[in-house]
Amino acid sequence: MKCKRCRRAEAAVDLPSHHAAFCPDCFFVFFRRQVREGIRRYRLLAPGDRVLVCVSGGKDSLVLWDVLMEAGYKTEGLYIDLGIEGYSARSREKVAAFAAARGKTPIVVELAKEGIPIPEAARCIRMQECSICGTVKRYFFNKVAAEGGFSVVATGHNLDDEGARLLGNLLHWQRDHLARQHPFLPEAGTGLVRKVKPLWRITEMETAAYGFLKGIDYVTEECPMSLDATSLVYKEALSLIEDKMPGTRIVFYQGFLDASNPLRQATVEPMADDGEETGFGKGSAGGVPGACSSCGASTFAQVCSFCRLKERVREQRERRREKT
Amino acid sequence: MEGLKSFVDAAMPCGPVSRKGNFPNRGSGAVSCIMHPMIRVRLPQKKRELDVPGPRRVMDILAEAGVRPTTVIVTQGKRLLTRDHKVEDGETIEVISVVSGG
Ligand code: SF4
Ligand SMILES: [Zn+2]
Ligand SMILES: [Zn+2]
Repeated sequence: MKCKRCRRAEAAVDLPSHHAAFCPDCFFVFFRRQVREGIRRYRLLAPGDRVLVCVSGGKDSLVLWDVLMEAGYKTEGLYIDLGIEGYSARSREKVAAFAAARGKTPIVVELAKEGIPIPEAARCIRMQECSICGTVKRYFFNKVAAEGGFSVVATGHNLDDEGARLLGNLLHWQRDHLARQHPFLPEAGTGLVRKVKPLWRITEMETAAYGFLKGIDYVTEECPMSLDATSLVYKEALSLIEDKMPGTRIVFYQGFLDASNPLRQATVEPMADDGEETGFGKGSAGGVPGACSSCGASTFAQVCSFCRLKERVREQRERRREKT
Repeated sequence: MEGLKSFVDAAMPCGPVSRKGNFPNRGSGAVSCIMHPMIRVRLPQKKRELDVPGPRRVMDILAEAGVRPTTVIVTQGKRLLTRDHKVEDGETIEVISVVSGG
């Protein structure tokens, strides 16, 4: 098969949803254009932004960092070491090598040092790994962004991730989640940094192809906690449909983002530490949050949700130690 | 004679070449051997490998392996293969899952 763009080189990537097939060079052009269009559509990034890119060592986040750097954005990478045996060390290595090759050093947060490694915390307080992980990650996104003067945090979520999440939210009619699901979440005066997903138009297969063709070495193993994630079921359901009807996924998600969609009419009002997120800032958008007595983050409670979680883990850990 | 037959069976598990030069034993469940190499399909994340008789298009190999094309990329060394690419006997390809969880 010949490349549909230059019509000379042999195609390396075929994209049924775009009725196209590209040689490596033309695929790079296509890919960068898709990212640019995704950013432009919702003004995710401005040229002067300092972007904190959250990297896990997987393909999507490393590819995201790579394209943003190439596009000339000022970026730094944030790696959160979850403290998962084996997997964390291996993914951290990939991030370090990727960054070093580009003259960068990633900012690293070690949850073991922070007193809340995910697997142990989950065991101690009998909570799902992924829900602890979500709270903790969001806390550090805001914290590191505030301390480092970043104007925006970017994550590597792709079209498959967002489509699967949308399907899950619709199936359960999670109206509040639906109202919040967007590639652009604005900052709030209470210290919540702006969060963007520049790869929202790009499929998983495309980021994998881009990463492979650019020689980006990523971890192909998944976080061991993700193996029974329900999101994988939604992903599989969507990809089944996509196989039969190429292009359905982007129509599904793009249609949802459409401003005229009534499901999106409810405006997203981010607040400091609404149980989901803890902000780091002085001002406030509505209500006046105080400072967490433990870490100083802005919160409506005495102690922010992250510090409360951490405290519960510490207590349980001590109790267990006493028993043994 | 029996001894020779079992020796040949062991050395050429794919079965003898017929006079016409095609391999009688090359349906599903056939195996690769030195005399009649097949396509080696590696699925590293699933820690699985299988042999498929060639020549065959990537999409047909994926169907045989029970893998949906939108969930993988297929590579050969530093090359990425399109779905209609024809793979020959003796070649090795890797099928890499692109589905990330969480
Ligand atoms: S799968 Fe769960 S524990 Fe693993 S990185 Fe994702 S959210 Fe965190
Ligand atoms: Zn081309
Ligand atoms: Zn706190």
